[in-house]
Amino acid sequence: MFIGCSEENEVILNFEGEINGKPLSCDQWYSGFDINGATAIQLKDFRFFISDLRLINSKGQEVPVALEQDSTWQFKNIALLDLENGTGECSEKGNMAMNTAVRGKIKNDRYTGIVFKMGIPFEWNHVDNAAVPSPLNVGAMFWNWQSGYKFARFDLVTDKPDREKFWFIHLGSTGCVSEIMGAGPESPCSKTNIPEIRIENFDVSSDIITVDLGTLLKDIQVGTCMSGTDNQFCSDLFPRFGLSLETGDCMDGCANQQLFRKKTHEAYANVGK
Amino acid sequence: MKRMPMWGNRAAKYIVISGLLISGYVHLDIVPFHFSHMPAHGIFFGVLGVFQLFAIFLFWLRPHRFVVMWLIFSITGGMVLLWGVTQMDFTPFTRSAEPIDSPTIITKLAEIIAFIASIFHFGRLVPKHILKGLALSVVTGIGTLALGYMAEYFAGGPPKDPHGFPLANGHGGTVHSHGIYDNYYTDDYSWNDVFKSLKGYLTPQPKSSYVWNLPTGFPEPRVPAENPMTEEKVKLGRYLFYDKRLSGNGTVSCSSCHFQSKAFTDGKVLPEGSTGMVHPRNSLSLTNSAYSSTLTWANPSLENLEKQILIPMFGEFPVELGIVGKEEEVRNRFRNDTLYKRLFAQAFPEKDRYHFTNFAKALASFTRTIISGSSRYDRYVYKKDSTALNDKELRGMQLFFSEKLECHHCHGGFNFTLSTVHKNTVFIERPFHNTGLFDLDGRGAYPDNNTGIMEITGNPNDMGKFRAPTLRNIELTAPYMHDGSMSSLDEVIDFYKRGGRSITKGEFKGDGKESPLKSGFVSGFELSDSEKEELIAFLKTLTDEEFIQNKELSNPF
Repeated sequence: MFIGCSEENEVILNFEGEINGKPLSCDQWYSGFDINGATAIQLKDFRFFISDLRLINSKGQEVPVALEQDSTWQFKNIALLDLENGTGECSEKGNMAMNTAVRGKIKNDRYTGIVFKMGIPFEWNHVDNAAVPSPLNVGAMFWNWQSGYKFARFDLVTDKPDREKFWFIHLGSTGCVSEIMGAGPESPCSKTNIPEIRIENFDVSSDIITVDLGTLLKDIQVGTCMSGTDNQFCSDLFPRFGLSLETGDCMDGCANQQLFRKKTHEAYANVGK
Repeated sequence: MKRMPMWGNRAAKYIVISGLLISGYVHLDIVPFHFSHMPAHGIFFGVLGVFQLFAIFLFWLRPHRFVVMWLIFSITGGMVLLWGVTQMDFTPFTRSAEPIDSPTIITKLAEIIAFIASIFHFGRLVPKHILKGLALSVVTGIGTLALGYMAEYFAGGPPKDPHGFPLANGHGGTVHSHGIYDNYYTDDYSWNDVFKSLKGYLTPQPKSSYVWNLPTGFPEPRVPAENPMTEEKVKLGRYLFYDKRLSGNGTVSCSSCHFQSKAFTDGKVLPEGSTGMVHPRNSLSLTNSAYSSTLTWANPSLENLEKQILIPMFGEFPVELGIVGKEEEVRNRFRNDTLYKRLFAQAFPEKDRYHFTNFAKALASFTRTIISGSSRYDRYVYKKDSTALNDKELRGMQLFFSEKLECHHCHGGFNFTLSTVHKNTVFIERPFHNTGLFDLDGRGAYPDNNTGIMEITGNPNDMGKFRAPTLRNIELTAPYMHDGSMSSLDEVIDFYKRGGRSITKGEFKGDGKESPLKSGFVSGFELSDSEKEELIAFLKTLTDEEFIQNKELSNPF
């Protein structure tokens, strides 16, 4: 409160879901796939946590964005992005509310890029989720104390035969050891599985981030992957998050992740038409 | 100056010093606990403790100074007064559920004794000032209060969170809490948190006449604004729950299908109503229904107990209590009863009070107190008693929470169902699942009288979708499933292990495993016999003996 308002700028980081060039929706089939026997998919759930959002200034320093504490979508430095609207297939676990942006404030400066993590920092990942405020009390995003939260929850229905048609992609920490089950681990999990996404040449006031399930899944073997290290599909999928399934850390700074990208300008040309 | 006999003054002096020592150290002692849930609260006690100890030196060095007298009065008598005011119901400072615990008793006693002794001390020392001293102590008290009010005024009124939940009326019960300004298991406070919590500490707190008695780790249930909890409604509701006069023909009560000994189920496959009509659905356990985001087995729009209770009261297909057509008769039974005259008058002060909505409100209030959270599992998890579960049960727990079995995708959270809502929930989840119990036609059909939420929504994709009930006390609530069609936990686990039920003959023939409408979470799993035993052993740790013997939930007649 002792800092003048003029020295702080509002930051709104917008996300836009996409599959193969089409906007995300729970009521639609997305064709054009040829993965693991499926040619089309439909969304069942699409939610993920973003944390530790920073902007990169002209000196290359990462300056943290102080998130607005709205007791709804954002808590501390964590925000829940919710791109499902609870209709269609999403009605089993989802809800109507959606959230496509992260809101906060940052010191006035010129910023040329962004960095953020997809996940929940260790100190908040293993709490009693009945005792923390929203969005950390959303039950569908929580495993249990020991394993913590699902950082990302992409539930899909495919056009495969009924018994194999559901694919659940749940990203979260693994190798979390607690003295007693039902309590959080004392030391960080052996595999954190939190990708850090860095996008240079990004102007947060006008650019948008595309979250593309199409590029994430393109040409790999996919199926249910709940971050298990012995899961065959995870071993294909994790590099697409930029992660090593073996270590749980970013490979090459998560630079090769295929989920997030700056929305291209060709796409902008169509906005508002 | 007149010199008084040394013995009296010296005794008074030592009493003042001991009182300050005791209350000072106790206040310092409780700092970490209070700091951990609300920094400002901890800082307040820290400053007070240091002040009380520091005052001893001043008192020792300058026992004659007027300013020292003022200081001593304000940190002894003044503190008792301040504390007293925060405890009084009519003041804006009152919090619900502020416990009077042993530190409170010790410090207040020490302070009041020190205060009396200090009046004695200063009075003897300077007799002409005794009245001034008393007046000053009053002024001090008023000053302390005025400071509190001013702080509130400048802080801009009571802080509220954007969803209108009152501040500092936290997780309720006897748990000492400051609501959203509590800190949540962390130590990364910023000064902003401290300011915010200070503001919360000094501002008026909403009063609630009801004190929840919640198990450790349980959040406060969400209660509809139009039916706030009161002891009186709970009491009336308890009588009504066990009273057969609430049914049309006087033969059954709510408790006829919800026995406390069976965690408020009845042990039957399908229950019968007052006229003998069989209900198509198994009696649901009332365990923790205060936390259910939807009520009954399958109705996405039934969100509160007040609405739900009207179904057994007035439902005709099937008839349960069967009040329809006998409304006046039933009402008069209560209107003309001495006991209920008193109970109703206490619960509902309005003149015209025998509305059925009031019956439902009282029953809902009582039902919200049917809370179970004292099982051995709770001892292990919430009370951190590592001996509460044995190795076999722990292995079962590991299986329960594993991705292999995926039980927790539907039966997760403190209440063992994701269909859970509480006071601080923002996004209410109302999941329903088709678990593959039936597939009558190859397209996932369920028997006509039990189609799940499709009955309500009319959406064919909702065929066979039912709510996942809590698993608490599951050992006591057999038979299982919405139609009571499974008699044991063994059978239930075999069913989930197979990933659907195959019925080979009869009118319900078909393999639910192959149903196109079956949830993706019921895909079957490998489980050895010994693992099954471990899983069942774990499920049995959710049985709450205290709950089924809780006198406050028992038949009051």
